[in-house]
Amino acid sequence: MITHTATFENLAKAPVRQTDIVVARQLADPYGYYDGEVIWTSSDYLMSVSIDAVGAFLGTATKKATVKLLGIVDAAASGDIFQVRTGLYNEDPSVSGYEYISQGFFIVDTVEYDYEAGSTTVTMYDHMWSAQNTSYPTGAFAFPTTIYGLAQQIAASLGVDLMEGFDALPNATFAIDSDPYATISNATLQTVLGEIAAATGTIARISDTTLVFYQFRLNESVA
Amino acid sequence: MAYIDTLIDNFDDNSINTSLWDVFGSSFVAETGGELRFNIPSYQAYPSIKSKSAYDFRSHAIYFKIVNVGVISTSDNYSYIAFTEDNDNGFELLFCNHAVQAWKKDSGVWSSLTSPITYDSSQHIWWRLLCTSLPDRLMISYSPDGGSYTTVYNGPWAVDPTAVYVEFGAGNDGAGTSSTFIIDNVNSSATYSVGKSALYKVSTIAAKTKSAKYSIIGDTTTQKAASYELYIDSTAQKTAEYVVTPIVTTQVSSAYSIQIDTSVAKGAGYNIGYTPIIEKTASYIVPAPEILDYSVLKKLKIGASFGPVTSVVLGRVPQNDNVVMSSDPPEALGVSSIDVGHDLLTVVGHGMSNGSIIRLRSSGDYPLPLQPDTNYYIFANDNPDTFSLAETYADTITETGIVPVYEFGMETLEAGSAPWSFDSVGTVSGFATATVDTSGQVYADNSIAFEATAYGSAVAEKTLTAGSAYGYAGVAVTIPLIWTLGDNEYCPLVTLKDSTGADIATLAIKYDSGYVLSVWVNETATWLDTGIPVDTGQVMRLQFGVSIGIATGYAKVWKNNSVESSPDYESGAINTGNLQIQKVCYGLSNIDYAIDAYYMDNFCYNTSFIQNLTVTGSSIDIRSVGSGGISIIGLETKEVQVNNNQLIDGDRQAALPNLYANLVGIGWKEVEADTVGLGWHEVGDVVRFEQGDVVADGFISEAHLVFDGSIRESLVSVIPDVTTTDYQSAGGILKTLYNTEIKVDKQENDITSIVSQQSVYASEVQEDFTEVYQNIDNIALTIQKSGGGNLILNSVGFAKESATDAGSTSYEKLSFWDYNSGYDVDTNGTAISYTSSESQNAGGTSGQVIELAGANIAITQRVNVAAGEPLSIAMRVRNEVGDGDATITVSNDHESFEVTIDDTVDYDWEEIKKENFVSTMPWLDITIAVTNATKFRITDLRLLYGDTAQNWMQASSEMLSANVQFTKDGMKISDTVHDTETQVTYNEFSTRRKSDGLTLFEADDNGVITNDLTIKGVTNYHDGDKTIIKQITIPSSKSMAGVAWIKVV
Repeated sequence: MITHTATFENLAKAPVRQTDIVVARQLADPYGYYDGEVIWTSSDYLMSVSIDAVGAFLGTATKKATVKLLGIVDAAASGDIFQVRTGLYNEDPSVSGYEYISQGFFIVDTVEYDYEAGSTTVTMYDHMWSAQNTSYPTGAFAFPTTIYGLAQQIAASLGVDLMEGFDALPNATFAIDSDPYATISNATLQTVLGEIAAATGTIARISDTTLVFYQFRLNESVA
Repeated sequence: MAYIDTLIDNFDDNSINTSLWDVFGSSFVAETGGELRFNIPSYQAYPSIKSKSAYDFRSHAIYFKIVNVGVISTSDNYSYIAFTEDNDNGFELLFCNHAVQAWKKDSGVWSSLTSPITYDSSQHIWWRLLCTSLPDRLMISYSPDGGSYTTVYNGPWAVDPTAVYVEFGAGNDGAGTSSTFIIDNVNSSATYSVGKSALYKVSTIAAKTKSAKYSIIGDTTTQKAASYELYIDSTAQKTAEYVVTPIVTTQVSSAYSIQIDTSVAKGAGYNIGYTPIIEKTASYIVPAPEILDYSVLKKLKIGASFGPVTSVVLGRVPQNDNVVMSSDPPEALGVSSIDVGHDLLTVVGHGMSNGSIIRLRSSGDYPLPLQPDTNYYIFANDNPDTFSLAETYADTITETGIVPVYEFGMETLEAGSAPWSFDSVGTVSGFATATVDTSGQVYADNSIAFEATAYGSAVAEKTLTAGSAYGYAGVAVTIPLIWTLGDNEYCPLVTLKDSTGADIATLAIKYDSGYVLSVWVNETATWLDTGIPVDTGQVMRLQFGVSIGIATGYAKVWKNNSVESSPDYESGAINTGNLQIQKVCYGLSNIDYAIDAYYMDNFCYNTSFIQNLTVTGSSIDIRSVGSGGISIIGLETKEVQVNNNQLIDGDRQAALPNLYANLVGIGWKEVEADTVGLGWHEVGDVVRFEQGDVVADGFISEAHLVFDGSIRESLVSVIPDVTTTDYQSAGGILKTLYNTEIKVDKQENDITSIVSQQSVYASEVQEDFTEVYQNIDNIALTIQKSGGGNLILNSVGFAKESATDAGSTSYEKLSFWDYNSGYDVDTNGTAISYTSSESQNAGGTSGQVIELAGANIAITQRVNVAAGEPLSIAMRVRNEVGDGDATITVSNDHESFEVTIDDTVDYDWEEIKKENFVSTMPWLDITIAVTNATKFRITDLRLLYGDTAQNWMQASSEMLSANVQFTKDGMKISDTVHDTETQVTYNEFSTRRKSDGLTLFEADDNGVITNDLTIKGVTNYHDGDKTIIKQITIPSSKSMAGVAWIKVV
């Protein structure tokens, strides 16, 4: 789950809520991402935002954000990166305004202009989608390596961080002597991430700009 | 009883917590500067603190920090940490003579657990003592920083780990010097030393993030923290929002606190991020699932279940990754007994192994903490009939977390009601003031009050009579106390006695400074590990008392920890003897005397100040134990297949165990739910949905969030596509794994192509494969075909033939077997064969046995084998004690393997096998020999290729049964209806009467017809170019008899 504070949780469960949503273009520098000048909020351009995430056990999860803007807005292009934040207003006077959580970082895929309706729809996906659309770069990764090492190389090629603690996952140190995908023509980075997830008993997903392999974990009982 | 890790004290409030510790030599012990200091004077002194309660050490750990070990340069000064069961049993870490050494005291006798280790003040700072369970083992480790621990002892536990007192102390025997021994952080360093490294990572990322103006740093930080599975305290987070430059660790450490309480922890994959925390705290964290119920749900739909996963298969099959389910759960097996002392359940012949998953069924109550509909993992041991239970698969691997099955249900006793009954209230006497209330109405429901004035003579205790059988008895009480004088020592007691009135055990509720008038103090004590067996009708006695002669003690006993807020007790008399007692207490010169049991014995019972008051009628909790009606059921096979995974195909055997440990036991339900718009869920989250008593664990595979003026969130948990495989009906094969792969190693410049089939039978694995290996020099072909034909002909004696022994005695010889040289039936004995349903009932396959009897008979068959190929031989034998010796020998000129059947051992069709041996020659002799045998029987004899012995089968060149026998030499048909035996060989076609051996028909290759040969037809006439002859008889009387057909043109 997206990490959040107890305060946010209480605000979300409150019978009366005041919500906000922010979609902000992200610029990158060596220290990470920061907000650019293009920032859409629910008080100006944003008509609606929907976020859909789909994934599979021992596979990968991909997140899609569909942002509908009021008017013809030509400030986004394919490849741009936006962060979507959702906020809840905190009535406590000792704190300032909205408390936000990040719904993730998304890469613009398409921008559709509806001149008749006067709206712009920006469709964006997270970095997993980028992995899905990136053919496996034969020869780009170093072998022999381990599953951990391969995950690190893929994360780097996608421009995301690999989660801390990957080395504690099952089979993280499993040795891969040679490139197993060298002779597979239709493999993508997502294919490899899915197989890493299967090999480590996890589900691979992108949380903001971190590639996370999430273990199924509950108390051991089954309803 | 509380676990040892609940004993927590950071010594930060500059006042010794007297609810946790008893202090001995208080003038030399002080909590100062956030530490506990033992200020040893230059003269004789032995100050110490000792936990007021005993703690359960099993599967739990204690850690603490030694800030300053003090002067330990001679034997006259020392410091120690002791863990005691009683006065005579315990162990300690002793710092003395420049060294640290672990000692144990067993029944009063000291012995060392470790050799002396030179004390290193830079390394021996943090100490951790961990008790693993089954068998209970003690691990003593140290660490310089509370991070990575070095173990100095990992061996048998030194005392009963169920009730251990903890004690810190130091001493000067009078010849030593002044010294200061400082300890700190008893189970309390988590926030500071534990989270530091992870904290730095989180903080560093926070510092790199530049979104402060939108107040998003905190959110981003928490988001980042999710990757560490840590939750940043919301209050501290606010402080951190303004940290936008690279920061030093200490600065952030003070701003952040990392919560490790999983009840408030948010974020994914707890166990990953918690691993370092667990390692550093020696704690165990069980993540709590997020629960969504009606308060935050708009819609909820619950569907089918998946799991729990019981097995994992890595395969390579021509299909997509999928999940396969197979049903047919095994039958329930009854639990015949429970060994509460060792946490063992007995199910005779349960056949399970470590990690097997079971659930419990019961016709009645379930023994706590065991629950129905809950998965438990088997921890097997060397005894095939017993096992323990663990709550997770990982626990079975690490031998931790064994469920203490003795902790059975708490049963509330009502005064005067079943299952226990109390005798009459009687008269309480000998007290200046004494009232007894059994009405249960005055102070609270189910309460009984007693007022004790520890002044006067004791009264007789009351008895409790068990109405049912209980395994163990114990007491859990809460006693609010009020005292008339301050600063007095007191010690309320609860004593459990046997039917004769002898003390069994005594629980001291409290021993410490007293309380001023009208101040109520709840003293709670749980006393559950008495180990006292209780049978139906057994009389037990329970006695409450006040131990010392001080001011009036008032105590009120009731269950449920319910305490009166406005007690109306009055004060009583005064006795000043407590001053003398104090001197006795502090005057003890040997630390061993501070052990509670000894102390209580000598202090409380052997002085004249002991006064007891009997409680009559109460509500107390007694634990019961029993195995009646409890059974275990194995789970249906729920198998996860991970197929065609390129990464781990190279060595699936190495990858599988890790994956199995991670996946076994998981399971979830199909759920669709709409929330009020919570917004923090991601794919992969595990969420528990509740509607009243209906609980469904969901594994989020779809999450949809819509913001269009309001927030709407939909969560979907789907279960994997499943295929049902009925392994049971697959011809005895439980599962078959196919593998077809070509491995290309460009670095080694070779290609390996493998086609294999691995079949898993009930008790064995059979793997057939072909492998082609190609490199620049050659191509190698390997074929393994396990199983196949038996290499021994007539292996169970279906084929027999008439023969004559050396003494001209006719006998029925087993075909293809050679007998002793000069075999004589009368001298050597007999070798016969016959059908045997008995052997089949015992597990045999062929149903035919060979029986050897006599003084000295051996049958031998030479078998051609492929030299260098793995072979296995197996058989089932029956030989009763005293029936004579037998040997089965497999030998050639170079090798010899022998199996000896000892006539002092009873064999009841037991399978004997020798697997995976190789013959260096192309033949082997199989010899079965007996000496002085009454009846040695053997069945299912087989010699097979392969490193494991497969089931019995006939040789590939024969087909034998009791009546029809095809061998490499011909065919024989036995007709029991007409008493004939017809045989066809390469040179013979004959029929004989079995009863007398009369040859009815025979033709052989000598051209001699020994009987008239008649060919019969149905008519006799000439028809054109054909002549139909009804019958032709060739007489045997003439040696040249015959018939010739001459074609006439």
